[in-house]
Amino acid sequence: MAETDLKNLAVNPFDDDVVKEPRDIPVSVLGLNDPPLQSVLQTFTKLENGRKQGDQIGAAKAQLVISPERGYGKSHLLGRLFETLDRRATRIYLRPFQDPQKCWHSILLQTVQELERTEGPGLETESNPTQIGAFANGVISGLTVLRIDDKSEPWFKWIRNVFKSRKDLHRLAAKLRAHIPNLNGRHEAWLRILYGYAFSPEDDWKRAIAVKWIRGEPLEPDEVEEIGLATADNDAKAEMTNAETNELSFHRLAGLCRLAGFYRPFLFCFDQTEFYATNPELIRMFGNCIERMFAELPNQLTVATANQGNWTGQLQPGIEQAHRDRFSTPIELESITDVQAKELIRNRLLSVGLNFGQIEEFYGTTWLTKLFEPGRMSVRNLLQHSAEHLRELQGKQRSPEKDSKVRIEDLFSTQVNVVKSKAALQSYSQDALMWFSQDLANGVNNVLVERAKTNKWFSTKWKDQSVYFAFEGGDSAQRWKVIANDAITLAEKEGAKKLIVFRTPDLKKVPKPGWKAIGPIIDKAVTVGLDIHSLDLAAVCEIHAARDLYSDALQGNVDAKPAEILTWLKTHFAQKIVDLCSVTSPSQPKQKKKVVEPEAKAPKHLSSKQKTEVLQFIELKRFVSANDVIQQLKLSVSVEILLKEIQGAPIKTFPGPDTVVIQWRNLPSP
Amino acid sequence: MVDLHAIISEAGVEGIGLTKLKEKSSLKKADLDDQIKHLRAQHLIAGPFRTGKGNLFYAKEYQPNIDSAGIKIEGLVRHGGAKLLAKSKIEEEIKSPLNKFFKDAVRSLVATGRIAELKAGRSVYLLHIDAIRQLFPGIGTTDHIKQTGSSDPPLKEQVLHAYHELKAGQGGLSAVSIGKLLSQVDCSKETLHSFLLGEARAGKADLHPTTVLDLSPEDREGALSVPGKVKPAITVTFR
Repeated sequence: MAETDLKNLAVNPFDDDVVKEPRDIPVSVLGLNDPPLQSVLQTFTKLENGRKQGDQIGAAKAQLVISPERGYGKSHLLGRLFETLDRRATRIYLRPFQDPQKCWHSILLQTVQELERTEGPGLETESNPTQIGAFANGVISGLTVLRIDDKSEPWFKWIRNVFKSRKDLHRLAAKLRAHIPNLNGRHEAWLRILYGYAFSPEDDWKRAIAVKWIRGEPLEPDEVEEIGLATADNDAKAEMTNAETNELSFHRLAGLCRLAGFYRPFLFCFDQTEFYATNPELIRMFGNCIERMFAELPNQLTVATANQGNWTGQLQPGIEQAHRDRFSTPIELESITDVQAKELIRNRLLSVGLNFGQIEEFYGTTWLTKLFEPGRMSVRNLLQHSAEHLRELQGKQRSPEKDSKVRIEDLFSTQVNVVKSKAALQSYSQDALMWFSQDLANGVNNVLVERAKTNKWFSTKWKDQSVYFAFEGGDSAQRWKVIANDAITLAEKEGAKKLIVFRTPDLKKVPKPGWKAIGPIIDKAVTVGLDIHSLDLAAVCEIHAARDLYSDALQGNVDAKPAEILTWLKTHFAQKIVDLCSVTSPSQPKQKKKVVEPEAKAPKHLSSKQKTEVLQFIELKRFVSANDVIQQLKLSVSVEILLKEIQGAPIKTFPGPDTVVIQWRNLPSP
Repeated sequence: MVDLHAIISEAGVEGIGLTKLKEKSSLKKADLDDQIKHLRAQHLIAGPFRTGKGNLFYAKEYQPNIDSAGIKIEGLVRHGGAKLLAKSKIEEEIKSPLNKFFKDAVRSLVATGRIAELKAGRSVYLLHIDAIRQLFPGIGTTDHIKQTGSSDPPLKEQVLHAYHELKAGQGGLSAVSIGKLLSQVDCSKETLHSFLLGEARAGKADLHPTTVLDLSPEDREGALSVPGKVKPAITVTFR
């Protein structure tokens, strides 16, 4: 095997210059942005110092992290915050919400998705539980402070006994009420939900029920029975207005924060806030959320990031005067010095297998000094210069100025590969689907998007096409019955031709085989146009990548204007939008097909033998493209499935426009 | 290879003792002594300083002196925002060996206008200039220059004055529009640009391009072309 040198590197380690996932950040540089990090940590520490079990510590102002310009490391700072706080906080990363009327619903759904992620990297194990597992255990064990018996019995035996006796449980709930009066009257429900989660094995039904209740979905009668809730505690209803859904979501979030007093604080991070600037109402609601979190959610610290230009020019002026004071004094990010630049470059080159001698060769005698002659710069600026310098050293011709369409196509393809490489970016996102059917589709092939105010579920309408969209990630039979009935009403009274509800591969399949009673209603809805539209993983990656790319353009992370990106995306998705508009001609009977499944293209899993072969192959090659793995091992899976299947292995991915290069990471850490 | 300088730098103003250095670097005592000697000879580190926590080493830029004590004090006062912090409380936070520089550092910070001392009875409180500017956005304006009789202050003074005024006007955010600076100082665009480039080269200022799409005519007017950079700088931050 040829020795790695600057000229034959399989990847350009400097191309990875935008952090997409706070739990997967490149190695930090000593000293860079330490003061802003320390400032946030210092504020967080106030939530911990002198805290006793159950204390309700009021929130500090939202920590406003400001970057003088793009590329100073906002998301990287959040990653370092996640890394430094580690198990001291329940860490929640929030992407922008899309619907101002349901902002708390979006925040809650994202919070639950983040809660279901493991504490550390890798798969769930006993020593690496999910955040919700740790939370449920932590709160339940923290409740021992409310014990009035002799306390000689271990806490887990005590709590098991409490749950065996209805009277003891009532008593514990009453003590919890005395400690935290404001749990919306759901003290016993929270106890049962958290106990049900904490004391159930992985993949147990009870865990799924607990998560469903926290998400604010109505439970089926057998689920209520299984977890032992009182009927009144099943407070999510099948029919709820947006305002009711939003308020229930806020109550659930408040419950989590208040109960965190028995365990550890929450850290909420609002990133990519430039997205809110696309709609004045979104900016206003963002300010409103920060105000309400400050005023009503204890035991948590909120962090919000923004570029200075976007903050002063768009966000701050759009936030109500009274809410502006809920942000801290700005915590500003720093530019990189030449000494730090040297360290950053060294780390990146070491990580792809180069040695110190080769790294010196990269610096050359004058390159770095000349680069810093006009002064310090942003980290991204340095990475971009370094990427270009490497290409020059490799004799790769600077590519001629590409046509804007080709350039955006490359950016989009890279973004799709980024989403394919990170499973966390593939989870169901109501916000991304709303954005797709509202902002992206508007104006494509005469689609005119409007908010269908009269209907709760089918809230988005493509006017001239009479196509409606509802957004529901849950699997409650009662709620689907309402959705189906709404679809029938809209078809019969408003002339709706198609009523689409997207489903993604990580969601439970609906309708479920056991839905006997509502089966005929769903069947009828399907005949009048209900389309429970399953998106395959490739389609999910494309839609999520589209929103991320647009968000990157708004933040100035990519070299293209947001309007240019949006126009390109509209063209790219035009056929998909046409397909969504198409309905069976009235002369033909409508198909009685409950779910529009993506065409079966490839298997969705690798066998364990195949997985072992894949990992051995990557280890042998050290650097190999995902396409080569599939071709050479004659696998019949797609790139996204391959990458999903080898998650947790010691690999790093380098997404590019054409493929994803996979690196086996057994290199000594720099 | 162990980067001992990096380890010492990482400790910042807190410094690091021999035991921790040995533990973090995994070096044998003789090798550690050699490297310390070498770094000291290159003026990259300073120490050992006797403190309550033992003998500590510091990276040169963090060595205990009036400046490093000033950095620590200013950080604490700035973090307090508009909340008045008792000078005695701040002094308690400044541990050995920085504590012996406390009084001088406070004097220096007051003299350079970074903090203000406010007296109430026998108590003295400290308030950071950023908090003052946020509370009184009009403070430190050109009226002040006129009153002090300096009809034609040197360029640097003029620029810094205008910079702090603009910074205060945007809630303490550091990156200020070069175009707006230009409209506040009495010099040509070329003179201002050349001054800013000089400050950036000297490490005293950072020049930033921008992501804002709809630049105002003022911002566009101030755009500064930076050698070696594709995009012009639109804003500047003084350190």
